[in-house]
Amino acid sequence: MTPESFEEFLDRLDLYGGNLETWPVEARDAAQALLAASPEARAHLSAMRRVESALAQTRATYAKGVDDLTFRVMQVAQVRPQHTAIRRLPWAVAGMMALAAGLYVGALPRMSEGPSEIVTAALDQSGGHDVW
Amino acid sequence: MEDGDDELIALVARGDGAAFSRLVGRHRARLTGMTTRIVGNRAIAEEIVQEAFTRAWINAPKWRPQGRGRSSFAGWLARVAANLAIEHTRRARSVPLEDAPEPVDTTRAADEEMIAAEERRKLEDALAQLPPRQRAAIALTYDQGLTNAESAEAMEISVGAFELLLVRARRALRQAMMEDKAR
Repeated sequence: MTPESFEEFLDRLDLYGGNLETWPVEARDAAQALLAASPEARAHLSAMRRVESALAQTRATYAKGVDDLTFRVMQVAQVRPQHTAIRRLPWAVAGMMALAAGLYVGALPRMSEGPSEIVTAALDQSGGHDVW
Repeated sequence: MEDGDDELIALVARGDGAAFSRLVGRHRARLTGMTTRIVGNRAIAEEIVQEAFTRAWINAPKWRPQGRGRSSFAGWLARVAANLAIEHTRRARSVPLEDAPEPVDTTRAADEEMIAAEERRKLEDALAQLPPRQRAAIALTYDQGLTNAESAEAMEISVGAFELLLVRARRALRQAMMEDKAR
C-alpha cells in the first residue's frame, strides 16, 4: 500500500466510523487489504472503535434518570397554551378590523390642503399679520 | 400496534396530555443523551430538553405529518434541542460533566471496568475540547442515531458541511485516543 492509500483509509475511517460493515463495499475491501498489512492502520481502527465504545457507554449513563423529566414537561405544558386556530382568531379579527378602518379612512373625502375660509377671512381682516 | 409519532402529535394538537406524555417518554432519553453530550452538563441539558418539548407542545397544532421533503418529529426535536444546546455552549463556557452514576455491570471484571472508566474519561476530556458544532455532529450521529442527511437538516446545513464537521470531530477524538495510548 502506498502512503496515499493509508491517508485515504484514515479519511474514510473518519467519514464512515469504525464499523467496516457500514462502509461502501469497495472501500471496505481496500481497507481490509490495508489492515492485513499495516499495524498502524489497525491501531487507528482500534482507536476509532474505542471512541465509539466509550460513546455508547456514556450514552447509557446519560440516558439514566430521565423519569421525572416527563412529569416536569407535563407540568409546563399544562400552563402553556398551544398555537391553535381558535387562539389566533382574536388576532385575525383585530387585523381585519384594522384593515377595514384603514380602508374607511382612505375612502373619506380628502381634506383641503390650504387654509379654511374662516382662517383666510381672519387673515384678511388682520391685514395679513400673523394673528396666532 | 404502537402509534407513530405523527399519530401522537395529531392527538397532542387536540390537547391530549396522555399522548404528549407518551411522546415525551419515547424521546426523552435519547434527546437528553444528545443534549448532555453537547453542553457537557446534565442539569442544563434537562432544561434544554424541557424547552424543546414545551415548544413541541405549543406548536403541535401546526405540525404536518411526515411526507416528502418534511422532517420527522424526532428530527425536528433534535434540531430544536441541538440548536438550543449549541447556542448555550457558545454563550456560556461549558461546565464539566457532573459526576453521573457509573453503570453497574457485575459481570465485568474490576480491571476491565477501570479501563472502560478511563476510556470514558478520556473521551469526555476530548469531547470538551471540540467546538460545539462538532460536538453536536457527534451527538446527533451517536446519541440521536440520525443519518447524515437527517443530522444536516437538524443543524440546518448541507450534508457536505455536516460530514466535514463529523470527520473533523471523529479525527480529533481518534487522535486523542491514539495520543493517550502512545504516552
